[in-house]
Amino acid sequence: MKKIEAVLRHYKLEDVKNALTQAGITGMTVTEVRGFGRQRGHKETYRGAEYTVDFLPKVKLEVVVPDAEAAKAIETITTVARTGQIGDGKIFVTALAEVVRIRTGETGSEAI
Amino acid sequence: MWLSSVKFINCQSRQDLQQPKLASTGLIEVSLARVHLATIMKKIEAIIRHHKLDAVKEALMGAGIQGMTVAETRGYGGQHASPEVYRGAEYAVDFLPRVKVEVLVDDHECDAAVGVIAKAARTGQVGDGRIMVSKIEEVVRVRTGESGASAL
Repeated sequence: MKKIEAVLRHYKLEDVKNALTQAGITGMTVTEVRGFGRQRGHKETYRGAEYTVDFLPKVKLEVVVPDAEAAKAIETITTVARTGQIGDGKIFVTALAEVVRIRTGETGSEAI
Repeated sequence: MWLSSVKFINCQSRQDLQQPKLASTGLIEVSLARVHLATIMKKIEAIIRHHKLDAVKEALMGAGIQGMTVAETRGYGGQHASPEVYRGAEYAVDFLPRVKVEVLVDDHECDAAVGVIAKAARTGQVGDGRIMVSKIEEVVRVRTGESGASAL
């Protein structure tokens, strides 16, 4: 099983959710995060003083999928979340050692 | 040149990856191994105090590590549920607010980054937080679709 974490723009969340559901991937966890990348945010002028806005608000989406579906999920997220502008976000993939459904105690891919 | 390549592999062999067999090492094998090794990435998650966030950010930038994601979290560690007195009443404060910083780094920068964070976030008091490191299998930049180390 793989955990796919994607840091995305807020307004893309709904589209990504729908696309993943259509691709047969259900269930996700979403967190509000702040962050920056290579660009280190941007400079903004407010009342004559210059500020660096470095921590920009983003959403982080976490999905757990069986190994076989990981590539499809990454592809879906990438296509849907892309605007082509800087700040589209990143996707990180990690291998999961174990998944347990708390209600039933099922483990492994049954629990996804 | 050949020797230096072999040394490179040896120093990486601590990482749990398929280590190429050195006995039959040919130049081609070595260069393939280098390509493979070059794409190993680590995620460093650090749970730190709010007021240390700026110091950690500056220190990481100073060390040439760019980009981070920050989230508000609450948690407790070994010293949980220390009772706190507020207006005469005693409260068990078990979930304390912290920030979680996530940084993605290339494998060879990992130890340096962990050291930088640990040093910048330390006050010496209980509650300084934890740093966790995990192996990332793939990174994709959403804008371009690039993957691997070039997407960091």
